[in-house]
Amino acid sequence: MAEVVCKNLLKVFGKKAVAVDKVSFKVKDGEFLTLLGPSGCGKTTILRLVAGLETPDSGNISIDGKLVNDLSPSKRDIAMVFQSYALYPHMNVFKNMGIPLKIRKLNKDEITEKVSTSAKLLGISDLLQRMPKELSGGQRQRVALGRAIVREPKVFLLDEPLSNLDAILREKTRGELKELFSRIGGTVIYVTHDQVEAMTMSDRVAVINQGKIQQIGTPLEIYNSPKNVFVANFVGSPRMNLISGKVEGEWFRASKFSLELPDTVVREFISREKITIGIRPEDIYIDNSPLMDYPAIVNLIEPLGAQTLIFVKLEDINIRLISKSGVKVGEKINIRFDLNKIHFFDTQTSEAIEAR
Amino acid sequence: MVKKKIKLFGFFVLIVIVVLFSISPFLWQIITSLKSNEEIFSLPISYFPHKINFRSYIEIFTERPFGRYILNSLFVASCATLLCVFVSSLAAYAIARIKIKGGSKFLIVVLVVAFFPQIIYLIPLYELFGVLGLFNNPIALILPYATINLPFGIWVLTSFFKQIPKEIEDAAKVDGFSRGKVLFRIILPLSAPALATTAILVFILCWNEFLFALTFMVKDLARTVPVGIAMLSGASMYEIPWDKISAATVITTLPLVIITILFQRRIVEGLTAGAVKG
Repeated sequence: MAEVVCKNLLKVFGKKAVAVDKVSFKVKDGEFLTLLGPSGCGKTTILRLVAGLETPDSGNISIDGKLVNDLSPSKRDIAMVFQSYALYPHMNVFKNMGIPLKIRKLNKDEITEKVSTSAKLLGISDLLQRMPKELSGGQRQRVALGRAIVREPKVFLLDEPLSNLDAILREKTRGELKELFSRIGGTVIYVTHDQVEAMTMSDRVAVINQGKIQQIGTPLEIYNSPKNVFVANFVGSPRMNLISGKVEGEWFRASKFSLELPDTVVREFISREKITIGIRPEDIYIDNSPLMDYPAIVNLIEPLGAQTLIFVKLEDINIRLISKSGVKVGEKINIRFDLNKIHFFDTQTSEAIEAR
Repeated sequence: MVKKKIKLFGFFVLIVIVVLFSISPFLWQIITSLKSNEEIFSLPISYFPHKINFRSYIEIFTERPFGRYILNSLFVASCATLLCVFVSSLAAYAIARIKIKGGSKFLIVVLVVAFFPQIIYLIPLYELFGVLGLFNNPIALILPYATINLPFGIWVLTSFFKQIPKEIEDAAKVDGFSRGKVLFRIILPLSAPALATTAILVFILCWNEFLFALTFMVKDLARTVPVGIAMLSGASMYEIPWDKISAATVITTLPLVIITILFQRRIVEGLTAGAVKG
């Protein structure tokens, strides 16, 4: 197992399309790092750069302390699982899993042993003689995983391996994958656009947009203190409420809406005029008693089962909140913000403002 | 219900008509080959031989070296087909997958070359093979046959290779396949239907080729089947031995029919099924 270090990776497609813009990160030995971002953000390109399927225009990649820039994918000792699984259609499951070993000139007994061990681990021992076309989506996905783990590579690269599975299977496989990789102790780089996968499986998450890493940290760090507006907006479901306005003395004002700012943060804002505040739907409460309340009208409700997502109109601002209490569309309610959980961003730079 | 049956019946009638129309020349050849020479010219036309005799089949092998012609044709056509499919798969893979500047332009140049009539190659090749002393040598047919069919092979295979999901190749690269192994162990097995189609058509073209075969093969024993048939002659120069010509034609067509039946399975087989989610 090994550590992966990427330094200032740059990849430009054609003349102007910058897919990966000077990205640097480090994956520790045995760590599960997720690259999370919307489609087209460059996350898959980063993975392909690490795999050696693309060549960086500049920057360095090293695996286990060794610079691998000029090594072919096969010499980097990595295994990759593709979104489409990319099984070899003309080979049965056993051959699909065994062929990387055969190319590395292991003898027949070793191959048989390793393939059957991995197959047992994944619960596909009885499928070894089948052809890929005779398998279900979930089974194919397992075979693709099997082909990766059978080689015991230094690094696993996974490119949206769950996106082709149906919802129930995806949720089940998510847990199994996490357990599998913690059992074999692999270093994993996992690409996904699904924040639930990122939050639940990873040791650390790198949020990527427009070819740049926006923030890298543990899932909770990213959730609790997003570093900029993009991360705040992208991570978390339902999405964070973002309201842009300006600071006037101790007050934040956005047209008719105003909010008294806590003393600790006011001093930070004196120099900035325009700020954006962000508050997650679960940090807003329906509360009909105290003085600080804001009267709002319910616009739309989306029952999620255990909770209900409520869209309200506060003055002229639309706000999402999550609550257990039943309300009706058109009902007038009072809402309260949890002032300790409000995030502040500089509207011009989109960066978070840290309260000192 | 009745309407459906009528439709089905009409459909079968149409099929029978089309099939009869397509195979009737061949059927007529078979019938003619089984008649005696007198019966062929007798009036009214007999649509079925009064007495089936295989005399003409035996005579083309005993009086003429027809077995040798078939062997020559088989050898030349097989070698040319293998060479053509091999070279065009290499070229097609390069065009389809390796980023070369002007790769697609090359494809158009290849197509333009295919437009040239065969006869303009005849005289230069005649001179060339004369200098190299290749007359009556199978190489003098194998090389030109393989070459003139290259454009066809390259076009068919390029478009097929482009359809193969790129992720399969990426996976192969990560698994440790070299470029060559990717081509021979992954791409070509997956392209079996396209390879078979190309091979059959190239083989048929080589098998039927007349002009080069007539020009470059001077000795009787070096001739291929089409030339051999054309050179069949009767007792006098005014007699055309239709019975023998028909027998020869039937025998010549048989290998093509057999090959097509053998390969048909592979063409139909959807080998790429199950490669990616679909």
